[in-house]
Amino acid sequence: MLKYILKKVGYLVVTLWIILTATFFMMYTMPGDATQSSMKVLPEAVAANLKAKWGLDKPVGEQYVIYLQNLLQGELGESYTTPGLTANTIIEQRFPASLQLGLQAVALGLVLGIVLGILAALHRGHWIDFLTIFIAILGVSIPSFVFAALLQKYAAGGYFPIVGWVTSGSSLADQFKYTALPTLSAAIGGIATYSRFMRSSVLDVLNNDYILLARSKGLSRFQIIRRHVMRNAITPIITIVAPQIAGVVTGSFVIERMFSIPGLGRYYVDSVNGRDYPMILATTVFFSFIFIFCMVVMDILYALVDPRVRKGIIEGKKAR
Amino acid sequence: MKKYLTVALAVLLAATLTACGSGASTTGTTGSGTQTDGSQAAAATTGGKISIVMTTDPDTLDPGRADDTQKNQIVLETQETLVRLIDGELTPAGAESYEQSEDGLTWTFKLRDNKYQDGTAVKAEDYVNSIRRLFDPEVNSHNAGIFYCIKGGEAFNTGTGSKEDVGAVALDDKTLQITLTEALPYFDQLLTFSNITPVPESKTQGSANASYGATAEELAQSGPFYVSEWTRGTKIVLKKNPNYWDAANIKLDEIEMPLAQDENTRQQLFDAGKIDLLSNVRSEYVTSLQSKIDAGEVQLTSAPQASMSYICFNNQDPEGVFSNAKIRMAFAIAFDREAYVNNVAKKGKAAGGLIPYGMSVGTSEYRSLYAEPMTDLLAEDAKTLLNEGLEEIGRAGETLEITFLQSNSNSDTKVIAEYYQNQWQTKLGVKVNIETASDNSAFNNQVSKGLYQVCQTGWGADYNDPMTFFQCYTTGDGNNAAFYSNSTYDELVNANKTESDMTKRADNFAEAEKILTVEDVGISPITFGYQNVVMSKNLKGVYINSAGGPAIELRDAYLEG
Repeated sequence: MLKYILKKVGYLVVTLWIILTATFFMMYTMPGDATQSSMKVLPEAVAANLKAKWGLDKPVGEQYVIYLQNLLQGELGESYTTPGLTANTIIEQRFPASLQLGLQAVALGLVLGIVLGILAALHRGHWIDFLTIFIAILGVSIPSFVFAALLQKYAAGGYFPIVGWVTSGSSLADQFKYTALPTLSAAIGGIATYSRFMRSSVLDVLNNDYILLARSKGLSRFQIIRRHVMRNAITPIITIVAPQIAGVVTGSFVIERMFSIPGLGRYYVDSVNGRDYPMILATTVFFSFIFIFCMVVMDILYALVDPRVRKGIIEGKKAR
Repeated sequence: MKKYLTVALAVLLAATLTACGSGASTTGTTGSGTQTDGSQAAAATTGGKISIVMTTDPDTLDPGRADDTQKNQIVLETQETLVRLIDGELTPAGAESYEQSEDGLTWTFKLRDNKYQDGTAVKAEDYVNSIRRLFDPEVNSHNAGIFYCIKGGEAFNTGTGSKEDVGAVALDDKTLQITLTEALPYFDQLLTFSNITPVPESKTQGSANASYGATAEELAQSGPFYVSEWTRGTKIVLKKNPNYWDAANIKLDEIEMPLAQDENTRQQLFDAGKIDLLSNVRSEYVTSLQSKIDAGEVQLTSAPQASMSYICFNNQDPEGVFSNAKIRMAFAIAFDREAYVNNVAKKGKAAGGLIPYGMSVGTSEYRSLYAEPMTDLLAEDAKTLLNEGLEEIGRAGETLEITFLQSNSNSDTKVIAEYYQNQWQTKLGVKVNIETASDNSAFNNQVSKGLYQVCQTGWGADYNDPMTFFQCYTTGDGNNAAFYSNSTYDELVNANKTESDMTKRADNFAEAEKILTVEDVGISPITFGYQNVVMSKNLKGVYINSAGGPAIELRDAYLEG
């Protein structure tokens, strides 16, 4: 098992290096550079000076080697567009807000999605089933920014603020007040996905003979759901939740923009438009890391949860 | 196995739940955001708190590097310039008085007894330091080029001179002297820039020189307000500076500036009464507020903005099409500018000249001296001009095919590109292709290399003198995207850099304007900036600046009733 984990981590490092290298060289093929991102043209001396300061006057190959050397020391470089702040500082300052929003959204999505999915499957054809299907269709088809704009228009302005975010010392009430609407906006897609998956998964399980057996043993309905249905039905959710976590934690830049949340999402877009090379690389590598990390954790969890997968790993070892 | 599953799920749930509660451990006192209604009950004409939005997230608050509307808005309320635009008039501010030498090259400023928010005195050396930093290769101010008129500035900026040779010296603690390379009659207009506000040298030593302005705590703030709170990505809070020289006349106690990058969000903030002022709003939004405006619940102010958009022809067109003046004319006049403003841009006013309303030459408004020169040209027949032009380049009778370069992939610029395509194809019978640059960097890169035929771009005034527009189209200027070149135009514009007779200056400008926009049609202006500002009914004393100074001057603002 340990060997399996180490192998996965090894893949993670190699994948990150490939992504980093590909991004690095693709970035340089984009026309224009950071000195050309504003409408007004910089004096030549200033532009040349900036390029020299950023090392853009060196050959690309040399810049790549320098970048890798700095990266190995944990230095992601100073942002071009935000003088005085390194990419490390920006990620440190900005990621917590993205993480909080993302995790709250996934948690809300999971809880509501799973509950709705089970209820819908158990009451197939009942109004609650139709409600779940309705929510699922809405959640998948309405983009989160439309949902966010609707929430801002009809739910915010009174108790809930239209824009803003919590500071580190905020009270629980403020936490709720500021994060409720953004969380809901970011969670709507998740609720839809999880409830649909859970519904079909539970329906599958319910058709199995062991449920019939459990019922004939005289177990109560609640016990059957808790001990037999849920445990078997939840496995596929784990498969989809890992990429979802990575997606929500890193990809809610539209929500962050609309609610003025000091997250990292903004830099994902702005750094490309501003040709802010250190920030482009930093956000790409960081987001890739989170994504691959979630996938690795999912693989490991899957091995723990599903005996068939674990058996596969052990047999694979024997075969070698 | 089942145990593993339960454990795994429990871990997952625990992880998410603890994350939900993070930061909730301490119960802080957050007064902001709850007392918005309180502003209504504020005492008459003094005190009070207002809210305006930030439309972009400022990268730095270093005065030396402020180079856009948003940063200028914040820096100019929190720093004291030597002169300030008060109700449109250039008024001594950080300087009590100033004078120009006989030859116009030396300007001497007598400073007021002003203090920073921490109580230390503002000295003439602090202005010297900020002027040196403007050219400092370590700082890389984007505005350095505008101030090359200061002696030694260009040399220091390009690495051939030292900071000691920059023409700004402190004669004593309260006297500042600036020496110019040429006698710019409008030099005092340049002093409304954020970049020339006091920064003590002690704040910018060593590595701090390059990073100054990254946090609010390190800033020395000399303006009517100071930044008391800066949460990047969310909001900035300004408070009244009790040590400001004119603090007795500053009425607002606090200006809250939440970030709202989305136009729709900004409108909702205004509708909900969470902000007191919204500038640069679209005409549709004004229409939706009309009943409130009529009832006196919302104030509407419209004011010219010193900016213009124009069709930029590549005068050195590699295809040899737009190098012909008649063809440029045909494309410039082939559509109705009023219709463009009403149906496509939905902002601004139709332009008939280079210089927008609200720009001054000396003490007179330029446009009130000289009418827009393009009126006659616009009445001519575009198709005839095109045929004459085609004959001149030896392609008579051909169906011309040209490419319009769209400046980025936004939906706004797409609508504009398609409008031109449609108009030129139907009115001129030419074929128009649209090429899209992925974003501004790609666009600027392509245009600066001359690899385009025609595009639309714009220019906003840096300071309140028509020179800020005329300068751009002189031969070889970095901002001359049209690669326009006319020696008579160059002579007229260059003469005006030092011409001190304001009547003569206005005359020269009018002649140059006619050459550029009517005779040569090197570029063709389409719209002039004109903005709608909506304000809550009790906010008074707000000045809307067209060029120079903060876009919205809140120094004298107060809440009434």
